[in-house]
Amino acid sequence: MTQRPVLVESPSAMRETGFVVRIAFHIAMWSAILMTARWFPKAGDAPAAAPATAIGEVAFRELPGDVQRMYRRCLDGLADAEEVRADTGAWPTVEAEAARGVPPFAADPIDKAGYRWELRRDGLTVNYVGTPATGPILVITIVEPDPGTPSDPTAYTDDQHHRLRGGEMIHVSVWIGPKPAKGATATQAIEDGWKRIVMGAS
Amino acid sequence: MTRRNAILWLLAIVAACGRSGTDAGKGTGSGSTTPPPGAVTGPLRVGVTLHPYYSWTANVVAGVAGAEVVPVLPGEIDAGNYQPSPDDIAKLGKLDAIVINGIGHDDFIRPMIKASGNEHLVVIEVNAETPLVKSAHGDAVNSHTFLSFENAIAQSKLIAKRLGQLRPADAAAFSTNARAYGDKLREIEQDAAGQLAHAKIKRVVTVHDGYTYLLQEFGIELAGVVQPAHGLTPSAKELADMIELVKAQHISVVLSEEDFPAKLLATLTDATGAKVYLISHVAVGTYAPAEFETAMAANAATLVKALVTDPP
Repeated sequence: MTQRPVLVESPSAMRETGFVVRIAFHIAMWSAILMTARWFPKAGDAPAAAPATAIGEVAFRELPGDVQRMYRRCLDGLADAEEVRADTGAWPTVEAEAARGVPPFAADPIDKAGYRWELRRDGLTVNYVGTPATGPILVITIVEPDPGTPSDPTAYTDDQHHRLRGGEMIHVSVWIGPKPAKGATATQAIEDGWKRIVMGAS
Repeated sequence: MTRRNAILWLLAIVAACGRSGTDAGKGTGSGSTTPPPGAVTGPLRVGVTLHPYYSWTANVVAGVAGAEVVPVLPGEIDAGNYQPSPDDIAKLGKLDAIVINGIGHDDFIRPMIKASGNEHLVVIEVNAETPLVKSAHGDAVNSHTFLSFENAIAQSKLIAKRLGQLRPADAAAFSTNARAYGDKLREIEQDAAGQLAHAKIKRVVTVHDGYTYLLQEFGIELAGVVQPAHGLTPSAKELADMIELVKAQHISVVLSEEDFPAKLLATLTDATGAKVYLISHVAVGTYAPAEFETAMAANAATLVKALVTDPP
């Protein structure tokens, strides 16, 4: 049996760098293609399937009809409150909204759960908390930007980001769950069973 | 840094970029866009595709100098049966903005906009911030959001907001008008709600899938929808299944649209003894600012009659 010498060499620094660069190039290129396709769908494309909900979220479409109804009324009330905020610089009280017949704050003959609403404020955070005689609590949450934050006219609006008439962007959300924390909070405790209601997911 | 660490870092960075892209996509997916940089200073011409949008927009721009609402479709044609015409496409070329459903009720409009060559047209998708319920059959969204008091109120405000971005000088007037219009609609809704809270019948069947939003507002349950999909006539089996459902659940009220085939409706009611009431779609007729509130007040009165006063 003859022995054949074989020379084993580690890759050169240049070859190793080339290898990493090639991988990086492919990752960046394919990511860019995928992301571009997501950002710029063709006009007329059918809406994509609704994204799945994340932990701490529940899809509006999956809620029972009576809760869907309350959520829709919460959005109605939130939209009106935003108008009042734009006009007066302050978030309206529950009593003022109820007096104008604005849901969900006004008396609601259809509501069998008997929701009662209260306004809580803590700095830039505002909560309208709706507590029923029976059933889940609803919290409309608003978080304003720090004073002096420049307005971005190109910012998108969606169910979490609203633009007031004056141009300020605010964070909004509606939560459903058990007893809320005291005071006003920007989010509710997911670990306690709170979920944010999302419009577009399923 | 080793080669393995370098690759892991790259993957982490790319993953972060991808996540950021997904989040950004949520904004675009809502159909909500920022206004064009150039605000309208002269006349403001706002097109609409559906009758309710005419009423809402006309109320939002009421009294604002130079603002005009232009229906794209002839009044007597239901959007579901519409075929675009060159004259209607020409109308689009002269508009500054257009209010559209965007989720299935006016799919004809985007090709028309493209054909019009109006690259400055601002498209206002009224459903961009509206929670959408499922269709009765299948998993698609129910596009009949306009047959609803609360959606009308919210979407009128959205129209006011978008037009205010287009013509900032009149933003406050648009907002004030939208709120006044909303208060008017809410008064009709609350009056009906006060009566429907005492409804003797709480569960109905509809021939058409257009009433879900309206029924939900009044706490009325939908037991079933006869039409298998928007505009489709049910097959003999589908009708037989619905007759069984109506009988099994003791449904005594069927809500129908104006032009559902009378023969099929007669088959359903003869077999079950259920009574039929007509609900308007606000889909045809003369465009008028008061058209929506008049039709919806009549719809609310029909519901009160069907569910409160007529039942023994």
